[in-house]
Amino acid sequence: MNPRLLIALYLLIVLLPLGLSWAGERPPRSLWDELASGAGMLAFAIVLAEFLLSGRFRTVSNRIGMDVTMRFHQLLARSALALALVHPFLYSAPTKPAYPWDTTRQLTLSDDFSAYSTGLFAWLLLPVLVLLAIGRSRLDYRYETWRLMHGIGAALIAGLLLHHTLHAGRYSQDPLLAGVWKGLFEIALASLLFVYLVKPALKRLSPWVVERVRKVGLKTWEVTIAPQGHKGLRYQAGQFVWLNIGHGAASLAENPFSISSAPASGNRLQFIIKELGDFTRTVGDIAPGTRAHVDGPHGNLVVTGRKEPGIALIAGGVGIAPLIGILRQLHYEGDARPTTLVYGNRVAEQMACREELETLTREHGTRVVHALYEPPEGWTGRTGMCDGDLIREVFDSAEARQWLYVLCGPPAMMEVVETALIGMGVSAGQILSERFDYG
Amino acid sequence: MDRWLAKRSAEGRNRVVYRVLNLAIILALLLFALRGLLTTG
Ligand SMILES: Cc1cc2nc3c(=O)[nH]c(=O)nc-3n(C[C@H](O)[C@H](O)[C@H](O)COP(=O)(O)OP(=O)(O)OC[C@H]3O[C@@H](n4cnc5c(N)ncnc54)[C@H](O)[C@@H]3O)c2cc1C
Repeated sequence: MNPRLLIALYLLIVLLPLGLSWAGERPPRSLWDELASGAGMLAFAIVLAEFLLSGRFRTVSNRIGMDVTMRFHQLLARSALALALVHPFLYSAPTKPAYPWDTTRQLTLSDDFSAYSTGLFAWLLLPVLVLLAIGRSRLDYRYETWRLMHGIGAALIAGLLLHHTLHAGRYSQDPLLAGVWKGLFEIALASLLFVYLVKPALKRLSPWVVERVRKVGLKTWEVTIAPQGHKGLRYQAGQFVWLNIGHGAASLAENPFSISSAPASGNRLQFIIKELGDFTRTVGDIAPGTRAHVDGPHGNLVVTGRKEPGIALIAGGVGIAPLIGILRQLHYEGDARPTTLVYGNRVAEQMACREELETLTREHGTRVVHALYEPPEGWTGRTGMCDGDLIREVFDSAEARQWLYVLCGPPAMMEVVETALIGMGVSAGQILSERFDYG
Repeated sequence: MDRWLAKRSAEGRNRVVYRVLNLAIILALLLFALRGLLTTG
């Protein structure tokens, strides 16, 4: 979906309850009471919209990218938290049974204890959920455990907030707004069920099997999977999938990996996987014949349809995975535009697909620039990081400023390279990037 | 806005759009809270 439309739709969802409260019959109260109610409603609406941002919906992420979608999920959670935290402290009206003449509860707050207790629970749980997510990488528990806890915690908070809003909320006494809250809650829950129930069911219908696992570099493996009883996946070079190897289709044990094969090469999918944690360290032991499941394709690191006169691919470490897929596809298609690959690694043993890159240089004319941070003796290539200086040197021409730049690597490298490119006059629209770490 | 965003890295753009969203949300909240004054003059 177009990013502007996405922003407009997002604001529509988040501001709808406030708008309906405004349009309703209830007269306004004091500034502080209205700020309190408004902050509470906005916090709840943002929490509900968070489910849509994290549901891996392609309509949401196909244009802006999954990494940007996830980043907004993270950032907006902080806004919801801030609004939720101030919400109870802003009220100035007393908590009392309603005065008989005050039919719209303009002067008092509800005295329904159960409605407050659910609100209080949610108020205590929300900071825990957000802080655990922010500190996830520093805490020592498995990603899958965190994800499950995060999903259950979020559903629990949304349920508590729905009860609190419908029973304590003044504006939610209006049947239309109450209906909207219930509708938004159901959509949020449905998106959770879609991820945990519908997607696994779909994945079960199109299983894959591991065909080959081979070492392609230091602690780096290439995994090939083949479709079983179906045609395979329609994807574009540079996209990624959530891959589950050796577990049931509903298992949470799945990891995102870029597809390193090219669609034009057939229905097999290939991945280049670097050892990092629990799962990736066991990749070398995976036996051919092991069942696999795939959720995807996702991501917008896609050059199809781009008209720039040249394509620069800038990879750090295992960031080569999607970029080699793109290069392979361009080669298959006989794309005549010039291509340059800048490939940074710490040591020479980490370089994956070295021979194939030489072949691509010979057959496709791709210029390959290797950079090593710790080069071996006798190294004739570049030494050092893949940084701004290197980029300015390699792409030092007016023509190269019109090219398309595709970046994938460690966040720090991408930040430095992007800043250098923008400094050189390359517009942000000519830069595509994919983050391997949602932070 | 587009030209302004074009001069930023991906995370820079995320931050700008995030601030714009927050601004819209806070503005809506203030308008909502002040509507009593706004409508009765
Ligand atoms: C879009 C994308 C494409 C990627 N492509 C590749 C690739 O081609 N090759 C490659 O080697 N690596 C790739 N990665 C990184 C890869 O996903 C992680 O290295 C891998 O998941 C680590 O899993 P683990 O169990 O070994 O380690 P863990 O210790 O379990 O995880 C290490 C970190 O990996 C991330 N991670 C783990 N599981 C998930 C998950 N289900 N969803 C999101 N993040 C998760 C988390 O940040 C976690 O802290 C990609 C990541 C993303 C987001």
